[in-house]
Amino acid sequence: MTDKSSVLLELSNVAKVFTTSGIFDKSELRAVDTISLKIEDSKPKITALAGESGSGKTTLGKLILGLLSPTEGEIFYRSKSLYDLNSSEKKQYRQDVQAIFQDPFSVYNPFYKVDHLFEAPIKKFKITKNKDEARQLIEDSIETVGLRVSETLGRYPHQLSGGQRQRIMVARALMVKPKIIVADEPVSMVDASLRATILEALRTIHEKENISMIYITHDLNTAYQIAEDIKIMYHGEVVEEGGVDDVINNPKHPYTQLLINCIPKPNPKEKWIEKKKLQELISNLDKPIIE
Amino acid sequence: MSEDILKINNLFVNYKTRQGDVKAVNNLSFTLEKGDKFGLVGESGSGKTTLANAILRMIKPPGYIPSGDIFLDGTDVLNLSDSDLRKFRSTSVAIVPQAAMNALNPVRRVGQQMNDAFRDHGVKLSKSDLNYRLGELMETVGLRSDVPNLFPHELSGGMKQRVSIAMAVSLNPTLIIADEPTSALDVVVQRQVIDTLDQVKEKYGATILLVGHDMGLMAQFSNRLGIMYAGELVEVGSSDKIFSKPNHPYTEILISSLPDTKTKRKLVGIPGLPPTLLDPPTGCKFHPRCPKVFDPCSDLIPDKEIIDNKSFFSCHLASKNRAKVK
Repeated sequence: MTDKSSVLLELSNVAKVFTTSGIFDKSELRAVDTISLKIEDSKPKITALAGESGSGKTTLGKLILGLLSPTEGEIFYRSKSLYDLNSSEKKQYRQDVQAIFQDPFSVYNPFYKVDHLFEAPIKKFKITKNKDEARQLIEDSIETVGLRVSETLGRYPHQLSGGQRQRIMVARALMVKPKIIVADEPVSMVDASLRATILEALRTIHEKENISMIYITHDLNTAYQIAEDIKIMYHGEVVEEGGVDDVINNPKHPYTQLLINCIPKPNPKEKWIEKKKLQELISNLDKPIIE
Repeated sequence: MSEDILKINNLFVNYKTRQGDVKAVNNLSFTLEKGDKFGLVGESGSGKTTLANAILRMIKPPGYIPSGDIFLDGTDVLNLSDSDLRKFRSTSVAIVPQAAMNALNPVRRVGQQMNDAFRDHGVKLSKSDLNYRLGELMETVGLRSDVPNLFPHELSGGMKQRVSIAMAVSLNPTLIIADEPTSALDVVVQRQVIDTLDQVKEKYGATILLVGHDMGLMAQFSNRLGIMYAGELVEVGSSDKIFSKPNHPYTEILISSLPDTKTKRKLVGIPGLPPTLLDPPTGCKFHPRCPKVFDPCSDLIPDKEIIDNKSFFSCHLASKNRAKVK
């Protein structure tokens, strides 16, 4: 049994239901369908959440970040429900759980220099005592993600490339010394040649700073490379979970098998499975894939 | 002997800006043979979409083509009159766009939109003939026969992409250009769309130019590859050879930086950033990021090293290796 105090964040039977109501009809979408998960303080891990679009992985990420509140179930932060946190605890939670989003273009306010992005959280969370310390901290975190300070600070977002912007987001998340980083498709909008660099930066800060990560992705290749555990989501449910090696080399659920067989292998000699077998795998599913 | 379908000779495409001309495509030559499945790979900003647009003659101002030739099936594309150009598009070359959701007209049914293309190209079909033809096209791309009666918003992303493939092949073009057709789709759907392209190619005998940056997808789909960097083709060759033994250092890192599900390893990306094409580096354009850079790279533009009539690469290493052998 795990010691209760070492659990940093816990989702207990959490579900998120979106209802759309028209004049005549009302429909429900269970985007996240009863999921439980624990993130422990003592054993930081990178956990991948993988699945197709519409499978609920981003919704789950937003629940963890506190950007959405669950329809059913409860989320506990240091064994206290998110609803019961007082304002200082809430602030601590906001600092401990940081986000990196998919789109490195729309997260920036074009009117501010990138410096603002770093200074705002320092002020908000009172991380440093004085300006010199703040500057040092900013420079350190920029260097950790492999960027040069002279090429980033003092610039406006439009002067930076997508890869640079995404790494700045990683640096910002790292700077506030969080316990958990939720990275929602951090590399899907970045060029292939820069993906490796960003993923390596994520892995480095996980190892150096002991930060747990939730890596949300639809790309099993990258999930395999950086995560220890993986959860495969399908229609709002976790259909398979375990260590990445187990799940990817020996998938049990038909959807996981389908996903793994559809990864385009970067080798012309290892072709995809035949179409017939693909159809077979698709027909094994009890719910249709979202086309 | 297989025949050459597309021939591009010394093509330049520039974009006018206030700071000077941006050379998006720079002295580029290559040929496509009938039945080729050619994969054009490059980072964003490497000029691959500009090249695709140039073949369709869809370069709009501030872009212009200062010099070069494009021959498609014997037609001199750059010197077509406007009315011939209109006929040429769709019947000779068609495009499957990246964002199928924006390519379809939201207020017309799929079938009506496809009929527009028929009528515009002088193909008059009776109602029953049209239905038959649409049914046949839908079957080829693996869609239900009632899809022509639907509006685009009633279709999912994968279905829309397949509708645009059906539209592209509807007038039986010689060349189909697919510009990152699956970058907005999930892996399973991506697989299905690529299968659809394959099927269409088999059925209509078209040549396909697949533009993209996903090397995995290229390995699965294409028989030949062209690697673009900063507006130039740095390496062209058969996919098998390029993946087993890349000649250009850029190709080499591009392949080795791919994550796979076999072995866990340190991920190494390509250091540095792609060059700005407004003021590209002198000599070999890749030299500031190249791990194998040596003396001549920063001054001299490397010559094309011809391997055979279908493959080449441009790198100074070739002459260095030759010198070693001697």
